[in-house]
Amino acid sequence: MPLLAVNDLRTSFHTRDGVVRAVDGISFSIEPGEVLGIVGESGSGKSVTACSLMGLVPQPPGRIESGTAMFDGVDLLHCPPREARSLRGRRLAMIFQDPMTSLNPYLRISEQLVEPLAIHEKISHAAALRRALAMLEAVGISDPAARLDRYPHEFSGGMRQRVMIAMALITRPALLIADEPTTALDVTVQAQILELIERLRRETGMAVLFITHDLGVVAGLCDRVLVMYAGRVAETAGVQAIFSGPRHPYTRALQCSIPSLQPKGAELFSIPGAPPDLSLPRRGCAFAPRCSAAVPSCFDRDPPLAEVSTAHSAACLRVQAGEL
Amino acid sequence: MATPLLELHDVRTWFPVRSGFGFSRSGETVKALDGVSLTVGAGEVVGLVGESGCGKSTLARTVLQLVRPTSGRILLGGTPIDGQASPDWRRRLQMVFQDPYASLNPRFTVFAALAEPFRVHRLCPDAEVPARVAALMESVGLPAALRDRYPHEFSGGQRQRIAIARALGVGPQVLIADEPVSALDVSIQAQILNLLARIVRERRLGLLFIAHDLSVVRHLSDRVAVMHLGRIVEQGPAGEVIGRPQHPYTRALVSAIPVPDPEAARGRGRIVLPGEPPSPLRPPAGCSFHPRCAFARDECRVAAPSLAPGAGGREVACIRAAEIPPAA
Repeated sequence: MPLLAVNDLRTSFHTRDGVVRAVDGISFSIEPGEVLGIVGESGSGKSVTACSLMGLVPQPPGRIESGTAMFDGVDLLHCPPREARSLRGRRLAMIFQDPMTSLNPYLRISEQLVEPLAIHEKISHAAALRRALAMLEAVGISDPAARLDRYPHEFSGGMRQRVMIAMALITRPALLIADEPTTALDVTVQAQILELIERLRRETGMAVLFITHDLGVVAGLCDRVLVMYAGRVAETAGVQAIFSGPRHPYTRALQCSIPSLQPKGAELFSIPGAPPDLSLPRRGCAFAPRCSAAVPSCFDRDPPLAEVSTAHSAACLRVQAGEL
Repeated sequence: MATPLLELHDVRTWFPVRSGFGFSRSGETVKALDGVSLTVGAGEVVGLVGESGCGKSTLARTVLQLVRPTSGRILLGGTPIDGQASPDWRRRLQMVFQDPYASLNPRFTVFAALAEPFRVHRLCPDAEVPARVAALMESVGLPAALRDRYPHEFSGGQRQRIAIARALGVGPQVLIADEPVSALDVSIQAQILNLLARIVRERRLGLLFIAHDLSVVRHLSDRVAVMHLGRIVEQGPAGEVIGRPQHPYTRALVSAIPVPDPEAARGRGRIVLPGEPPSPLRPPAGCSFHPRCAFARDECRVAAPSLAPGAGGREVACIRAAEIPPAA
């Protein structure tokens, strides 16, 4: 049984300029211990998906229009708030891109680290501090005893990200949602944090939902990948298949645009145009206007996500018809 | 190579550190640039890489005299830039910044932004300005019909095109681009990289391309310089420096690039540096990389090594460069 099963999630934002359908019917599941990567460009709905699961979509203007998200036998989207709160921060935790804005600048990190324990577990403050200390050590902070009473501004960017990971993992969650956790970091620090997430997953067996725009990070870390475009899933497959045999024209185009895969100096492939305005009515495939393989029917019929080979699905009519 | 267009000789930019509320000097200095020498030739792209705080952006700002160097010489076309000599140098040296949202005036239409340099530098009669602006817009791939729009009406990639057009308007010889694509999505990034490559080819510009993303730098650059804490630790042909890095810091940087290929990504040995990057306020004695270096010896803690010729036409600032076996 999957750890998390999301079915037909739709989240939109009701703004003065119309209804923006940020997430427009996506379904996926995560098995225990699995790392699922969600990739896509700005505005593709990656973060809104994560925030919907964590109950972090501001309502209004946001609204979860439909869908279910079954986790531990509970529908995260429709259960009573008390039930959801008892799962979030305990069985389900999230880390964010910018650790400076997600740590409270007024509180010592010791207070922030023990907060989840104070809320979810009935243990003494001294025992909670011991857990905090052990957790800081586990995420690779040297001299944790001395650092426990420091404030967030006294840490470097990489250290703050470690503190945030320690805070998320202190309750030993079954699922960690990581929303671009290394995007703001330097490459050498990014390598440290990715190594840390990999190690913690091996040791604790937690599942990870890893959101990123960087295909390179996905290749090194994830078991399975979900490629999002304009609020929908364009393609999903095992990490090997996504890189060695991408089917959806958008996934292919993305790969061709990465500089490191191309010989030096060659003209990079670039996708013409820009992503669609999600407040306009959708007709046909959202990628069709930018797609080099589009035929007239692509502009009329909405492509469903369907299996194109074992454990490999793509939302493209031409791929499904065997034409690409 | 003929006389390089842009030359930096032993440039140092030190900032005094103010304590308390900024009234008194504490006597400490941050050595943002500590003896940097670099050249950029015509039609050449020099990539400058390094992590946050290594001095990349200070170098760009120093060359443009937005901050004054503490010592050293900066030459443009063989004549020193010192802020006063000839105002002409500002026309020959232009800059593109990272954030196209912040570097364009939101109250200026595209036309106003692009026309201003022509008027300031009196490059052509006023009557010709509209035609020049239209040609400029077309040259960076923006339809001239959009000239009366404001920056907020454009996407990030289009804004970066406007910023590039504004820099090109005055016909510079050298362009400095500080992280011009790091705020953009992959597919848009590719468009801007192609545009920069075309501009360098067609106009024979010298481009100093500053970035933290090594795969982007490798794609665009002829030569690469790697900075660590205010100094260049390795420089040379891009293929050599990134393909066969010699300095231990460059090796770690190269191995940390995420590779978009699952087999390669899992098969290779990623060098994960221990500890934290050093504070520029209190740099370690000797080689500034030694606290995190797997190859450091006692000598490395004493004196900072200077750049010395290494294999493949490069220069490396590491006393052990020749002894360390090549990376796999």
